[in-house]
Amino acid sequence: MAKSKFKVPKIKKDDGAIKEEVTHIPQYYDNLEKSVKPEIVVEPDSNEQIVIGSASAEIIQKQGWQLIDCHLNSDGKKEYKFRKV
Amino acid sequence: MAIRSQFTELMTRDMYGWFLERYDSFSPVYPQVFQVEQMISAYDKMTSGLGLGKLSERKEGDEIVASNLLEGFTVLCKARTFSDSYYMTMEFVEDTPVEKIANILKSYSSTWGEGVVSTKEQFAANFFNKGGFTSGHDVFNNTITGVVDDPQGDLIYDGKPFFALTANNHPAKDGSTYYNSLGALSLSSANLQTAYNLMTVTNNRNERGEIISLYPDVLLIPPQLHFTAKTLLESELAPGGANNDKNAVQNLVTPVEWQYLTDTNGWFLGKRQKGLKFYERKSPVIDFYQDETSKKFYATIDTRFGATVDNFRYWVAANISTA
Repeated sequence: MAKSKFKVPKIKKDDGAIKEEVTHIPQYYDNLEKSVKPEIVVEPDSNEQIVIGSASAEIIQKQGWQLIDCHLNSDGKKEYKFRKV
Repeated sequence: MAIRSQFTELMTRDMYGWFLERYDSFSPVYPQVFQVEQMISAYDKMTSGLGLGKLSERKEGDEIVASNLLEGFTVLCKARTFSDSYYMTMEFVEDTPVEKIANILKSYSSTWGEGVVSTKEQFAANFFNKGGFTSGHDVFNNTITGVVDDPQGDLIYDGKPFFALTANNHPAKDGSTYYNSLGALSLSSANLQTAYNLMTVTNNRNERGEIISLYPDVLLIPPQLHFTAKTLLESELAPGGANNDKNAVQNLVTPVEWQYLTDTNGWFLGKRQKGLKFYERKSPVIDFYQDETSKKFYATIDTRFGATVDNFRYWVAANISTA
């Protein structure tokens, strides 16, 4: 798993000795970050974009983009193509 | 000892019995979705719903206002033939006890009972599986070479896919345009309401642009959406919320699960037996005979049916493929 950009402060005991140090974000932060960020694989120009996965596509559509194509790609995932309106 | 003609006739009769025993044990979904009718010719031609519109109020002594006759779209539906067959060599039949042959025929006939239902289900489901294809699909093509030409080819009667996106609207005869594919919207309460409003507020028009009564009563889903639909339509309170809001879509429509739908997250809001017609042309015909040149014994089955879209307005789709 890649290291996080988030840092959790070091926690010190009362005597000042280091008790615990966390150097990576918890797993669910990683997952959360991935789940909310649309996976845009190609952006030929600013008027079109291609998105993989229905959850990401729904976000893009609700941002006002117009769906013009949807098909299963070679990985068996739905690939959506949007056009700016 | 039975002569050959008696043998084949007896087997044919038995095969019908085995076939029907199995055939009648299924409850297909397509009759819930399509209006099933009988057809008596190679194809049927009709005009999409147009009507003469509303009546005008006439004051005492005034003349009756005459409406212009407006021709609707021509809708075609051809009868398609579906068949299967297998054979047994003469030597096999002669060297095998009759009881064993009967068992083999019984097994195949029962399989055909399931196969005919499955074929009809698959064919009917393709109207939804391929309905969003921007270039259309053969399931919508009602051309019979040399008999009748379907001018719209692989598209529906108006030259558009059954489920048209906003960028590719259905044209109406009054110049209006409509869409009935919502794009990448998953099955959720908000999106179901969007689909409902599209049908009941925007698309509830005839070819003249006049309001027609149009309320959906069915949510057609693949098995993968079974639990999502159940939660959505049967919860008393809004699912996933912490405010105890009423579930606005509770019992709004009836979910109908169809295993022949191939789009795992595609869903369809519609009205039962409206906008889609399924024509039964010929019931399954089973035959068992011996070919005189090869001496092989053939068992065959043959049936004819067809289907068409006669009004897209009764259906809205979401999250379906366009190719």
